[in-house]
Order: sequence, then structure tokens, then C-alpha cells
Amino acid sequence: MKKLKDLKLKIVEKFKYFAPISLAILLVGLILMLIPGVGMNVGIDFAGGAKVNVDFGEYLSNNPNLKTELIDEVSSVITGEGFSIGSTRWSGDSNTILEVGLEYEVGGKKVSSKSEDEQRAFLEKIEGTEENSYEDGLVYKIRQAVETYNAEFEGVEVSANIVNGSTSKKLLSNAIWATAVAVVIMLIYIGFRFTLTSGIAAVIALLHDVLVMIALTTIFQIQVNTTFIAAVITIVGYSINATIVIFDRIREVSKLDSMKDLSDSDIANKSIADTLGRSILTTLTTLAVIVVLAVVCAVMGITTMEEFALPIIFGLLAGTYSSVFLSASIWVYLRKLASKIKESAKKAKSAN
Amino acid sequence: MKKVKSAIILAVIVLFTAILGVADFCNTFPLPKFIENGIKDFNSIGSTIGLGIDLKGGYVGVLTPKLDEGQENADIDELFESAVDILQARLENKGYTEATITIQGIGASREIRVEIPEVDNAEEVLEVIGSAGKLTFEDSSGTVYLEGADIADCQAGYDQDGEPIVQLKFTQQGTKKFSEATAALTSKQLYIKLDGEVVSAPTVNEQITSESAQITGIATPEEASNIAAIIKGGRLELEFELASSNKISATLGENALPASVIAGAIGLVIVFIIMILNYRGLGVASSIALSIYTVLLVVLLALIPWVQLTLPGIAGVILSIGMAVDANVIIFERIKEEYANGKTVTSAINVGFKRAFITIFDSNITTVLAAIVLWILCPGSIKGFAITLLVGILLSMFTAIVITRFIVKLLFNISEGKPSFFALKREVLEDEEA
Repeated sequence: MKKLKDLKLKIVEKFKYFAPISLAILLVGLILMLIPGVGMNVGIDFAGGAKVNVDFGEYLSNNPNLKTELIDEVSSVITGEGFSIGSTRWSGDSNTILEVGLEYEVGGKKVSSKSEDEQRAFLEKIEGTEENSYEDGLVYKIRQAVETYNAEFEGVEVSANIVNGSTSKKLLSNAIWATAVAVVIMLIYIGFRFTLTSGIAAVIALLHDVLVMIALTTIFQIQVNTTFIAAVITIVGYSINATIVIFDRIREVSKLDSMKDLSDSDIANKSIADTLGRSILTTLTTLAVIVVLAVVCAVMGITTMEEFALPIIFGLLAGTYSSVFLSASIWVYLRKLASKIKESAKKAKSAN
Repeated sequence: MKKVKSAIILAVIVLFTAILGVADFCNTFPLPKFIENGIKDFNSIGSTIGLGIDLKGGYVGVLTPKLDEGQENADIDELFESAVDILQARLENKGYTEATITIQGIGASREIRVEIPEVDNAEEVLEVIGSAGKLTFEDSSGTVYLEGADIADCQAGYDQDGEPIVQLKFTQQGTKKFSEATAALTSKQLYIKLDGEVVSAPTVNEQITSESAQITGIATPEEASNIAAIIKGGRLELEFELASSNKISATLGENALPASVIAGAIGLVIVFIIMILNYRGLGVASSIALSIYTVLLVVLLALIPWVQLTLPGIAGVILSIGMAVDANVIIFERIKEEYANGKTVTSAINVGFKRAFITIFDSNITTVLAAIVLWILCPGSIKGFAITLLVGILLSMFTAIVITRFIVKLLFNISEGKPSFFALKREVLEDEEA
């Protein structure tokens, strides 16, 4: 009798309303990815770009408090010339060299960098051309701006080079490969401890979470660099964890004598309801930790960390959504499919 | 009596956690002056955790290729690609799993940029990392008997006198060649050369059929470790020289680490509040358990030698904290449910822990498996993520199953088992039946 309340939650029956929400997000993400000039916001790590080094020399090492202003000064020249800054950082033995990473972008538009000639043309925009005594280049303009800003920086050294994204791409392909192996091993484990249907459903849910995460990252145009790989793998871990908790419940409920008469949908609905408290609370606490990280980093101006935290937040939400609204339903439909296949196989056999 | 005893034990646990917490973090947070003066010479445990380039900075070296005449027409893309792989392997052999390598420049004017974390001998490593690594065993006339390809494994170590050596283990082919070489060179000198320079030149006493050998006569342990890393990484077709090297500051900015620590602290407090509001006594138990988890995690990360914390590593920590909380939530939901179903507080707690264990085990073991796969298969920064995740999850399972349970037991004794203290209710059930 007491199960009455639980059975009111008819999530499996409403699968046809829940699934399209995810599909819509995936579709919008996919369309944006395919539109030329939009796509994913891929950072220098993968796409490559240019690096501009500004060596301020000894005067800065004696006046380190000028650093913030100098970054602003240099940044405004760079963006003023239509380039996009991917990263800034200090290097050098006394931290007097400012390294600025530039994306392959001019005037807000991505430029192609596939061939060496295209890369050379981009570098020429930065370094300037010989026939104009390099005065049309970004390097010259930065030097001028810095010298005007403070005469002490007379003769500041500015140089540029092209950076290649190939090694990060290799890291990415290695990571994808390793994650695929990890997923197969998880599938085997789940198949062994639960059922193969549960394993397949869990992997579908996992794919959903990762794809929605990638779609949202594209929709919000968050820049993707090597840290994104770690963010995705984090969500793989979280997603599988969340799904297993529900399937564990399904496994337990299916074994109970009092539940013998229940249909798959009822078992799934009950299991979702039973674990709902846990799903909400765990999501809430994990979200709290990561949102605080994002906010603190935003306040302190650490954009790389934001670029890292936001995709994780998307993934957490997708993971919770799929584990409550989708995964158990997928399990039910897979079971239906499996029994249909079995039946038709049986029919085929008896027909013979 | 039980009540007093439990209260004392709990107080001791909390005190120890607090002391360990101070030891973990004391120079991260601004402390009152009188404490600060007392711990001037003390390095917190947290500050001894190895940090990656993104959080602490390190060294950058630009390696330019020394192109031989024959190589000018070779496929430069391929040469660079294999060079990057070998350099990566060498750096990993040195323990710099977080090192990053990028190719810069266009066409034939390309260079390799290597970033390694801040360690004592970073510049020395950059100096030698691009060397060809061509190992040969020769006689006095220059006849080559063995090459790097005949080496299956190699490691830096010490001989019985404490002198630094490099241990070589031959492949099957190598063992045969070595045996032949020592037969031919009995009572003569064998020259072990690296890039044409003699590293050591022992006199062969008799034919040696063993599958291992040592390179002796190395000046420092550091040099031995470099030689081992280079030989093991493989031979470079394209040799490099260090064009420039420089210090670099933290890639994520100098504030990234303090920001994550502060965010972590605020995040934990929020988690404590959510847990206590929801579960009262049980929430208190999990807050204490999570504090113990956090201070122990910091100790473990500091103790495990191959941990180099980076931004991905922080993600691993966050995920494992999430899972530690999750484990507690699963247990408490179960206890609530068992109590609502009519069990006594004691048996609800016992059954709750027992049942929840299966759930926690299955959900965490899948992640543990994934972490192990990533650790084995992934290069670079993902390895760091995998190891922190692995350590974090194993510790979180231990905390949830052992520590939370113990503290719940203590709190049960202290509260004399009042259901309301643990936010346990039966009304839900009665309402339903009505």
C-alpha cells in the first residue's frame, strides 16, 4: 500500500516529453557547430595561433607594480588592431616577459591557418612587412605604445612566432581513445554486476551527458582548451556514478517479492522516486562546490578556471537530468526491445 | 557512561582533525599574528604537494633542431612528430608527466617548446633532454656491438658502494649480443658511449650471459636519472639543442591556487550547511567525516610522490569530494527510509550502512576502473587527473564506510538514540496509509 505515492511519479511514461529537450539542445549545438564562422570556440591549445612576447627588461623587474597596467596597455593595442587574445602570462627569470597568445582571428573573424602560407600571412600581419619597414605590423604598434606609455621602456623587445596545436590534438585523440577503453571496461563491469541492458543504458546516458555538455559549451561559445578534456572526463565519472545509483535501486526493487507483479515501467518509476532525494541533494552539493569555484575565479579574474568550471556545470546538470529523466526510461525501452527481439526469434523458430 | 566516553572520543577526533587541518593549510590562509610567529619555520603539508606548471609555473626551454645534411630533404613533419613523442616519453621517465610540449614556427624554421614544472634541476634537464640519446657498446676500434634498441628497460640506481649507476636490462637479442661482445672482448675494455661520448669503460673479465648490466662511473645521481630517462625514451632521429631557457609563471595566473583553496573551503562549508539542515545529527557526522576526508586527502596527495597537482587534478579532487558527499547522502537516505519503514533507530542505521555499501561500491568501482584505465593509457596532464581521482575515490569510500559510520555511532551514544536528533521521521509513512 505504502508504495502508492511512489507510483504517482510517472517519469517513464513521460519519456516522450523529456527526450526532446535533450535532442533540441543537441540539435542547436550541432547546427551552431556546422555554421561556418561560429563552430566551437576552439582555443590556441588545439587550433594553434601566434605568440607575442614583450620583454620589458630591467625597469619592470625594479617596478613590478606596473605589470597590471602594462597588460592592459598591450591588450588594448592588440584588441584595437582586431586580434583576439587567448592567454596572457609572465615569464623570464625575473618575470619581465609578457607572453600573449593570439588566436587565428582578425577583426572578430576566424582566419584559416591550414596551410603554411596562410600561417605566414597571419604572422606577417603581426610582424609587419619589410616594404613598410614593419610599421604596419602589430609588433611595431605594441612597441610604440609601450614606449609612449613610459619612456623608461625605450627599446622594449617585441617578438612573435606561430604556435602549433598538433601536440594538443594528439593529447585529445589519446584521451578519447583511453576514455573509450574506460567506457568499454565500465560496460563490462556493469554487465557483470547488473545486466547488459543496464550497461548499455548507462553508456547511452553517459554519451548523452557528454554530448549535451559539448553542445552547451558550443552554444555559450565557451573557449575550449586542453583543460576541457579533463572537464569531460570528470563528467564521464560523475554521470556513470549517478546512473549506477538508479540502476542499483532497480536491481534491488526487481528482486523484492512484493514487487513481483510490477511492470518494468513501475519498477523504474519507483526506483527513480526512491533515489530522487539523493539525486537532488548530491547534485546540489556538487554544484555548490563547482559554482563557488567558478564565482571565486570570476571575481579574481582567472578566466581559464571559468572556462573549466562552466562546462563541468553543464555536464553536472546534463548528468542529473539524464539519470532522473532518461536513463531508467532507456532501460525500460531497451528491455522492451530485447523481449521483442526474443519473441520474434521464438516465432521464427516455431514457424520453422 | 557510554555517553561521556563517546563524547570524549568525538572531541579527540575533532581536535586531531583540527590540528591536522592546521598542519595541512596553515600557510595558505592569513593567520593571526601570534600564530604566524609561532610557525615561521614550518611548511604546511599542503605546500609540499607537487604542483604543475599551470598552478606554480616552471621552466620553458626552446629546442632548435640540428639538421644533418641528409635530413634537409626528409619529411620534417614526421621527424618533428616522432621527436615530440620521444621527448614526451623522456620527460615522463623523469617523472614530469605534466610537462607540455608544443611545436612553434613555420616550415623548416620550426622549434620545440618544452615546459616543465619548477624543480631543482629544471635547467639541467632542459639542457640534456634534446640530445640524440644514441647509446652504443663499442670496442677500442669503434666496432659497435650493442645499441639503444637492444635495451628493454633501464633505470637509475646505486651500486653497493652507493655510487650512482644506470641499470640496463637487455632484450633477448641484446642479451645475445652482449654475451657475444663480452666473449670477444674478454680482458679488454668495453666502451659504453652516449652520443659518441664515453660514459664508462669497464674491463671485461669474462663472458657475461646475464640479461642485465650496469653503467658505472656517473658523477651524480641526477645525471644517472637523466641518462636513464633519455635511453629509455628512445633515440631521437632529430637532435636538438637548447636555444633559450626561461622561468615561467603559473599558466593560470598566480592567484589560481589560492583561489581554488578558498573556493574549496567555501564550497565545503556550504556542503556542511546543506547536510546539517537536511540530516541534523547525521549531517553533523558527515561534516566531521568530510573534514577528516579533506585533511587526509591533502596528506595523501603530499605523500604520494608522483602527484603533481594541476587544474585537471583539482577537477579530480572536486569530483571525489562530490562522490564522498554522495556516499554519505546514499547512506543517510537509506537510514531514513529504513526508519520510516518501521525499523528502530539502531537497526535502521545498521541496515542503512549495510545496504548503502553495495550501492556505493558499485558506483565507485566503475569510476575507479575508469581512473585506472586513464592512468595507464593517458599521457600528460590526464594522468595527474586520474591519480588524484583514484586516490580521492578510494579515500572517499573508506571515509563513508568506516569513518562516517564510527562517528554516527558516537553521536548515537551521545544523543541516546533520539530519532529527532538524526532527523528521522515516520509521519511520511502514516500519511500515506491514511
